[in-house]
Amino acid sequence: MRDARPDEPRGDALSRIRAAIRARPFARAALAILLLLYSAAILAPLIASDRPLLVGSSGGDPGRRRWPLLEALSPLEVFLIVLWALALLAPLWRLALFRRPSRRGPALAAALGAALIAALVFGASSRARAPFATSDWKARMASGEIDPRTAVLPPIRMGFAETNLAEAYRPPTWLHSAEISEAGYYVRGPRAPVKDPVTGVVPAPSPVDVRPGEPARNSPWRHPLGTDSLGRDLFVRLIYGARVSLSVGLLSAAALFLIGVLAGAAAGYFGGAVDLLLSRGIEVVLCFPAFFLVLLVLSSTDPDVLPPVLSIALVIALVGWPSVARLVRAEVLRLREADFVVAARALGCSPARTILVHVLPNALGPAIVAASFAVGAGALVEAALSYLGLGVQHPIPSWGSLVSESHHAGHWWLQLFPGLLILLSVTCYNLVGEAVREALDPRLFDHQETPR
Amino acid sequence: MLRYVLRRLAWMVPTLLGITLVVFAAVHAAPGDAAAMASSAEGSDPGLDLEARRAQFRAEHLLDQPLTRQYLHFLGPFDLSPQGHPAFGGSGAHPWHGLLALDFGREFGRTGVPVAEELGRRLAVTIPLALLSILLAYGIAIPLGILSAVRRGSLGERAAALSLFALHSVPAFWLGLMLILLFGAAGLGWLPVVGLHDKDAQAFGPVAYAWDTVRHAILPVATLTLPTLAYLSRQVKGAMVEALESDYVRAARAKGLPERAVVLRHALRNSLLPLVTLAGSILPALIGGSVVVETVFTIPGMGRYAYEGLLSRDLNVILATTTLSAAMTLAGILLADLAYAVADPRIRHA
Repeated sequence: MRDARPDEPRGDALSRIRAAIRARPFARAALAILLLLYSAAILAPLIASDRPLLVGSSGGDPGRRRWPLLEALSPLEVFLIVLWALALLAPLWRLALFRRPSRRGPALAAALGAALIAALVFGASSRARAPFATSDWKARMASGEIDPRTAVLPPIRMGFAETNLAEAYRPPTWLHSAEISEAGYYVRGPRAPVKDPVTGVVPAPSPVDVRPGEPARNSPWRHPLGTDSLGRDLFVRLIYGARVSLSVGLLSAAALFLIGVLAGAAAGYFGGAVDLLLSRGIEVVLCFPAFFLVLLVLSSTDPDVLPPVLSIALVIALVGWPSVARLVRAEVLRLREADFVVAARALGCSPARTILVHVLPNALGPAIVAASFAVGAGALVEAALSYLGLGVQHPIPSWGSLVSESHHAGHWWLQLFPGLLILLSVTCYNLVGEAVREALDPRLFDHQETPR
Repeated sequence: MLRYVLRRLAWMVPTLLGITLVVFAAVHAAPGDAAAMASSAEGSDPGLDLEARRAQFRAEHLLDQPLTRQYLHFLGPFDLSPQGHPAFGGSGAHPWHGLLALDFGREFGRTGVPVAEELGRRLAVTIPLALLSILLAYGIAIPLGILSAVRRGSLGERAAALSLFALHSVPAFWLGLMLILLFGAAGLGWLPVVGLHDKDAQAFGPVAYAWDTVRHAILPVATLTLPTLAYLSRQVKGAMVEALESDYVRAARAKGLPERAVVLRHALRNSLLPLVTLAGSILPALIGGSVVVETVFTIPGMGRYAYEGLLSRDLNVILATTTLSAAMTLAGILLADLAYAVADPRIRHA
């Protein structure tokens, strides 16, 4: 968006990217928003759940404390939450342990190790359980089996799969049209009860069941973004949907970067038959209407073998790698006969070492730029796939599948809010990608689309 | 020039073959028995029991044959089925079949319509929409890009750049849904949002019919055009900015040409060229996007056809739609490259 300035800082790719982001207010804001979204996705079970965090006394066992919410976490969730907490503490760490901020490697390894150990210990110590089963904790609190006063609840007391049929398709509760009377009728709006002119029948009321810990019937905070066909809270489902929608973009970009770099490096460095074969392959995939190929491959993968999140990411990578491979191939071709590469070969380096240590680090710039834009593109493809119903399986939400919950124009909140989040996240990805491009590849014209 | 064209055409053949192989492999790697899912194997000929009907269905569509034979049958031009070409053991009733004979067999569904026939009907919907949105996108993006390059840094340009940036990140299906909410019966009520014709459009006069079609097409075309427009105008602006900073523009300014002539005659002409080839990558995006847009607006086009075929595991429909869209993409890329080669002699002699 802006010119490459002559005072652009030199240095390794990471510090240049960081400087470029720091210099652009939009990119900075985008990064902050993305961090916020990722935090919400990682901490989702601690933010919103129908389980209490802590129960003081349970059943016939009055002295025993239980942590129903933590018991329901999966090892992967524990890993990510611990990692997130350690990352948050990074500035403190730097003060206490590592005087020099440049030693990032050991700190990262230590954090990863600690999170892994926590996840393994957690996984080994807990029993197998259904990850998204709705809990009966609220019912137990309502029946008096558990004293609600001894329970500590998470900030939002709704589960992402917790249904409440009386509140199906309830508009955002801060709207006047969402008000429900004591008897269970909508007070105004298009769903207010109207007596049938012929039969004289008034539609049946649906009294709202306010469970322990939940906001009152007409509190604006009860369902701030409305509910879906089963009365599930849209806001909570958006928080949980962020996990799928945010991970697919990153995973697919990482995978296509890896495939593309390896294929491009091999084609560029070895030349000859390898190059011919890979170049033809690249051309075939590039000429293919990518979305058709994604649909085709995805409809033939088995969700029992590969979790849908991974298969979607892999399929997107499968159609996306050629653009990265082409860029890497061109760079490697340019560098292959450079003096330092010839020197490396003359010193007896193996091809693998020459490529990985000497050629690739100098050839990755354009590929990193392409991969950073692929994050947003992958997220868009995932949204479209989930909208078409080929994404993750019910009841796990993703932002794309949430849009398709209702096609009725009267249920506008179901269509508006998830789409806004997709738009927000992809715009942020692209703003960061723009900063990456200007850091690593200051040419303004998008040279990924050079004439074939 | 002729040699260049022929060389390009010759390279298209292996690419297209590779694409058909990929599609064929992916379709056959899919889990599930196509015969068990096909409704025509369930419905017709009530005298036979279910297993026998499925066996008959497999024989009819060669699903009981080796994959190589099925692939050759799909490729054509000889029909390898029992009713096929005499040279391959058929009865000769239906000698030609496959891609080279432009015959993709019948749909697996209950009706058994010839796929090529249905595809023709679907293309007559999708192609005009795609072409129209490409034309519109270029027609708006070029002046917009020039204007933002010339007015770079102004408040209006910065606002336009940011909104185009966001527009580039909009999911197409959501854009369509929001347009429906805004302009459909639930919002302003200005435009129809379902299908391409009114339900009793057949009774309209020719003028009313055309007007009805135009009104139905506005929102789908807008949904296809806007993200493309956002992408293109950013490219135009980038190319123009680069051109405006080049030496020949400085020379043109230095010799006292009016700014208008500098921008339109010198900078624009040189930066337009690379944009032509972008059409080659926009076309596949539009074809892929047609699946979503046709789903949102319930339009019976090719994208929707491909998607329906995928859901019902209809091999003939999947093979036909994917091969055809790949061929159209290749043709689009070729045309764009030819236009480039015509304009720039350095390319065709390279």
